[in-house]
Amino acid sequence: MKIVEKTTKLALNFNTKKTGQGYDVWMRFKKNRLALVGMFIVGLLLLMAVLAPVVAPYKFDLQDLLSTSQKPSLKHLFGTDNLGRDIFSRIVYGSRISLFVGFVAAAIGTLVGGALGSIAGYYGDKIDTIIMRAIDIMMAIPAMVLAIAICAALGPGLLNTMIAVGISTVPRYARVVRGAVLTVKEQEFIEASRACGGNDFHIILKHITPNCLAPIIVQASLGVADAILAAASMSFIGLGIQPPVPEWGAMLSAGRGYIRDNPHMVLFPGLAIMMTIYGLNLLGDGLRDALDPKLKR
Amino acid sequence: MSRYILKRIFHMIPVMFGVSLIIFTLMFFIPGDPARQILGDKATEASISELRAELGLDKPFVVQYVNYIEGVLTGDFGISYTTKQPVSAELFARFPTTLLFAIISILVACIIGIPLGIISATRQYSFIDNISTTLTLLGMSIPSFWLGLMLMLLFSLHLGWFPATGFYGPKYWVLPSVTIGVTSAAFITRMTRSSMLEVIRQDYIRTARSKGQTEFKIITKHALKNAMIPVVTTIGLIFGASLGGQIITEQVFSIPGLGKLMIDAISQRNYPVVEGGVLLIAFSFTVINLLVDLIYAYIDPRIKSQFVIEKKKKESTALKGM
Amino acid sequence: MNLLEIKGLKIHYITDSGVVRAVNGIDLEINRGETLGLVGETGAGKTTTALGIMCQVPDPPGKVVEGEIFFEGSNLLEKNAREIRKIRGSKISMIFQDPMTALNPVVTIGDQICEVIRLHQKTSHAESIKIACEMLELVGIPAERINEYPHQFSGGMKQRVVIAIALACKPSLLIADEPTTALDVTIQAQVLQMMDKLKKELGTSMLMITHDLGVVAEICDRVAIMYAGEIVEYGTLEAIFNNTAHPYTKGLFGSIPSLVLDVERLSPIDGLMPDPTQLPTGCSFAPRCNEKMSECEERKPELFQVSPGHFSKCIHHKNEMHKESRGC
Repeated sequence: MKIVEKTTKLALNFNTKKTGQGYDVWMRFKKNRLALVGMFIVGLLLLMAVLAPVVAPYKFDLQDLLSTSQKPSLKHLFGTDNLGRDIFSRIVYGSRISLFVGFVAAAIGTLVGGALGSIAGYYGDKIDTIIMRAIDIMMAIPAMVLAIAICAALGPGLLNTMIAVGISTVPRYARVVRGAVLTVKEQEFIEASRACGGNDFHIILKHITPNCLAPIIVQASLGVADAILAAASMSFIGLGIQPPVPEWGAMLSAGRGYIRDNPHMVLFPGLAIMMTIYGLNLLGDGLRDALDPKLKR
Repeated sequence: MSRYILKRIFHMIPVMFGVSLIIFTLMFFIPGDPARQILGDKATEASISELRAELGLDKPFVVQYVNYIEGVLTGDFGISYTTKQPVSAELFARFPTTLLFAIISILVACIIGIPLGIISATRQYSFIDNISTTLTLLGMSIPSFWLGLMLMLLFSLHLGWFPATGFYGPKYWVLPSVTIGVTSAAFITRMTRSSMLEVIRQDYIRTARSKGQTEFKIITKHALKNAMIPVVTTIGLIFGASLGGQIITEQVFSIPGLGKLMIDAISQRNYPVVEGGVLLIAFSFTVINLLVDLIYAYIDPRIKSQFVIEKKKKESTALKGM
Repeated sequence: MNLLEIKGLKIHYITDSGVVRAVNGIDLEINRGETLGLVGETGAGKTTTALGIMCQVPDPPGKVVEGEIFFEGSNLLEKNAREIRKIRGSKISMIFQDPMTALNPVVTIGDQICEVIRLHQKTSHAESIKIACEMLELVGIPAERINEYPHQFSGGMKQRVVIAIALACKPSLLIADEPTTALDVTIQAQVLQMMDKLKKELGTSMLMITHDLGVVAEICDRVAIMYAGEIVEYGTLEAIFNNTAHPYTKGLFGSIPSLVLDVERLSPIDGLMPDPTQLPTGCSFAPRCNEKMSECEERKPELFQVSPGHFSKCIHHKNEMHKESRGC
């Protein structure tokens, strides 16, 4: 859970900085109603994840064999599954898994991809060629297929799912970061800064990093959504996170067999995935518009 | 132009080798012994090691990989562990279904996405645009397997309009294609909208307007062709993404395609089938991207003329040499 | 009757950060066959005025708030979209500032010229191509390049293509929005000369928008000086150049290095143009004016006649003139 908190803290710090660029970004972000809705949804989810034991009326693995496959009622808000477990409670606990998987996988992708991309972009030449050829090869396999193959090799489980999803997204981060580094590197203000006597360290710290940050933040915030979706997909086909862990995709997969008579077992986990991803997409879109005013008019 | 195509095909070779190496390595390190898997728990150690030798599983990694590549180059993807049939036969029996599925889905996505994106862009911030933007983002957020299940629940289990499983004719195509198509359409709508918005602010659109051209013609004649350039790239990428999404969706609708074959193979540790499947998907994806680049060059004269100029230069230097 | 008469035109852009008053009640007229120079700094509202005449002010955020634009006797602002489209490109056409972006990159230049011909003249496809070839030759581009794409032309050549498009239907009014600003100096003169020649051959009136007084001196008959969305001085070329009345115009001339007079240093105008969202209540030039009086900051000056056909919008100058006439 630590990483989740850290990331949000980072995001909050970034947004509420009272001076300069950060403040402008926040002002632009604030104007975007949909982005605020996204932030609200994501905030709510984080809260739900952190306070799961308080929010959930039952424990996620509590089986009540006397009330199996019950339709939604006041007692069981989203009904119960075939083992009599409260679906609402499982979804609440599931938010922990999904957010954790999403953030960690996106972090893996950002770190590995970002490192490869910036090395390739900054040093250029042979290193660039080698790295980008390798990225091209990875790009030739659709991300989902790559994630499935990696997960098949590593075996199912929470950690392996995160690694598989994270690695499958490395190429796109690498490309984004390389592109950003290359554009910034060739800008005239870098030349100007060098002409004014700025050394490499100063240039990287003052010019290249801040100018690459925006596309990375945007890609990462949208990447969390993608990662959650990919992880849920893999759990759905039985490769990712395994039952009885209350992962939303796995819940969907388990409920599939009962869809005719108990559609609520499939409906609610799916809605949970959708809302999470919708919130993250809104947030990511809002961040992009706020960070890059050129894109919006 | 043909020189360019040849060059691109030439570029595909190392990429495909790379893909085969990645996937072979992944499968090689999967825990568990396929020989034991094939023969079952009751098999004797002797018969297991005999089978290992027969399948070449006792050789070192490099030898196994070289053997595999040699086979692939002659169209031999190995033998399926479960059915004992050549993998190539299994793959090519399933491939047309998957390809058909992919093409129908992308058509559905384009038919919905491109017009919606154009309308959205030309009426920015209007009611239609707001609705479409909201729906688009929702479409991007719907997990395709869940959408598939919901569509199945409503249209086949409750209303009985379409069959729930299989892929044997137009009636069967509807639900799976819509399932994949909705997400892809959302991406295409977004891309078309933003690209169109960018284009309609260009000076040449103002020029067209100052000629007295109608808005409809300005959009169709001047804006669309320019706006489609980035959209075509997106369609190529989406094709790859939907190939991935299809694997899951084939599972939902029990479509006898490549995806279902591969997922079943993974659970049975049937590596040759998984390897062959990934190779085939990567190959098709690469070919699609090549096609996309060709369409790109066809739409954008700036790219096309680059090759013509290159060619002319080469011809003129060749002439000088004589 | 004048070909074009603008009366009290006001165009505002309504944005999140306030109302940008780009054009604030200007009056202009252009006679047949005449070239009017519209001169001013960047942001003075010249291009917006031109877009106003073309009925092409981007809406939103732009809005024609007030005024009338009479073209050949009828008010353009009262026409519907279809009637306007009939006039655009055939009777009024416009050359835009940047030739690099004014042409569609994925359509051949031939198609782009033919388009305007076929829109306004009932010609067959073959005939329109013939006319397009003639137009190309007329602007000095070999007709065999008709099937090439814009990226195959240099900047100056592109501007020639744009001019060919603009003149293809022999319009009665040509609006040229800084047609030479984006070009190399050597090309500038060529293009200007060609425009002047073609204009005379076709009997077209022209509105030449520029910030370059050299260009004005070369081809304009009359000149309007624009500042912060208003016409501050207006008259014949001779009157403006030899009998400069408004302090802003004087400042413009003071900013140009002269080959004839040997002055110690240039005398540029101090300060910047006022923020168009917050224009001063009095004379908008007052904050930068070195002849300003207290009255200037309190009320808007009106246009007064310096000499027949020569107008200026300056309180100080008007008072001076009155004193002089009384002194006589």
